[in-house]
Amino acid sequence: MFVAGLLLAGLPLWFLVWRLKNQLRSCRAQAAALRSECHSADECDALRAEIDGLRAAGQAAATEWQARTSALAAEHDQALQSVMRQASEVVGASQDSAHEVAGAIRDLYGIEMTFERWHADMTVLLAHNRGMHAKNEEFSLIVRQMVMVALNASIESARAGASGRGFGIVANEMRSLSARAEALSMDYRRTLYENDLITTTTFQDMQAGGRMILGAVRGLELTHRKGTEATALPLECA
Amino acid sequence: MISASACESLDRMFMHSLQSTFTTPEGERVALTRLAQSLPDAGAQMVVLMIASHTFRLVMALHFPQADDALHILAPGSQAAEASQVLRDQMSERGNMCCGMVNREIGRFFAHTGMSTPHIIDSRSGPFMTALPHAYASHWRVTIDARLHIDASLCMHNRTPMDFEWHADAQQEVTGELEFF
Repeated sequence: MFVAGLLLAGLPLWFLVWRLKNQLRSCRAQAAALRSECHSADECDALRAEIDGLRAAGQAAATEWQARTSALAAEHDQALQSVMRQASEVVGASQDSAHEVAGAIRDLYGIEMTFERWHADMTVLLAHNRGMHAKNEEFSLIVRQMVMVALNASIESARAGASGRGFGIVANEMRSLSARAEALSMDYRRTLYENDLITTTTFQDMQAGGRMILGAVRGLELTHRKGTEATALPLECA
Repeated sequence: MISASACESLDRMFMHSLQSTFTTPEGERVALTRLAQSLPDAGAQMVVLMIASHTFRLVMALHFPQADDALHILAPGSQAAEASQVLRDQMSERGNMCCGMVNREIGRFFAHTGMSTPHIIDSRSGPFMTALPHAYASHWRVTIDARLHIDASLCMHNRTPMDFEWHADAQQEVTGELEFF
C-alpha cells in the first residue's frame, strides 16, 4: 500500500520532473538555435560588408571605365576628324590633279591636228613624186629620141664611108650614152614607184599609230572620268 | 618572229574579209587563189591601207584595174564622165571595208590598234611591198568574174613575237552567244 501510495505520489512528481527535463532540453535547443542564429547574423554582416565593399569597388571601376571610354571616344573622334581632314585634303589634291589630267587629255586630243598635218604633208610629197614621175617620163622620151638620133647618126656615118668614120665613133658614143641614160631613167622610174610606196606606208604608219594613240587616250579619259566621279562622292564616316 | 599559227590566222582573216568585201555579179562568194606575187594589170591602181600597233604594222593593198574594166561590176550604172572619181571612191570604200574587218578581228588579240585612211597609188609600186621590212607576206587573186579580178596583198612587220589563232567560225559562234544574251 505504501509502495502503491508512494508510486501514486511519485508519479506526478516523476511527470513533473520529466516535463521539466523536456522543457530544459527544449530551452537548451532554443539556446543552441539562438547561439547559431547569432553566429549567422555575424556572417551576414560580414558578407554585407563584403558586398558593400565590392559594390564600392564596382562603382569605382565603372566610373574609371566610363572615364576611360569617354577619353577613348574623344581620342577616336579627334583621330577621325584628323583622318577626315587629311582625306578631304587628299580628295582636294586629287581633284586638282584630275583637272590637270583632264586638261592634259584635252591637249592630247590636239595631237590629231598633227596627224592631219602629216597626212597633208604626205599628199604634198606624193604630188611632188608625181611631178618627178612626169619629169622622168619626159626625160625618158628625150632619151628615146636621143637613141633614135644616135642610131640615125650611126647609119649616116656608115653611108659616108671612110670620111664618116670619125662621125661614126661619135655617133656610137652617143648611142652608148643614150642607152645608159635610158637604163638610168628606167631605174629612176622604179625608184620613184618604190618611193611612192615607202612614202605612203611611212605616213600611213604615222596616221594609224596616231589613231592608236587617240584610242588609248580615249580609254584613259574614260578611266579618268570614272575616277573623277568616284572622288566627287561625299566622304562618309561610319 | 611570227608563228605559223599567226600567219595562217592572218591569211584566214584576210580571205574572210576579201570574201565579205567582194561578191560575184550574181551575189555569190568570190574565188580566191594564192599567188606568189601580185601581178597587177597595166594601168592598174592600188589602194593601200595600214593597221598599226606599237608591236606591229600590217600593210594591205588591193589592185584595181582601169576604171572601165572595174566599174561595170563595182559600180554598174555610173556615168563615164565621172568614172575615175567613182572608181577611186569604190577603191577607198572597199579598202576600208576589207581593212576594217581585219582590224576588228586582230583587235581581239591586240589591245591598241589604229587604222589609216586609204591611199591610192600606181600599182607599179606593188612589187616593192615585199622590199619593205616584213616578217610575212601573202598575195591573193580575187576572181570577181571572167573579166575582172583584183589582186590583194598583205604584209606584216612585227617588232615582238606574234602568236595567235583565229578562225572565222569560232568568232561567229562567240558573236552568236553574245547576241543570244
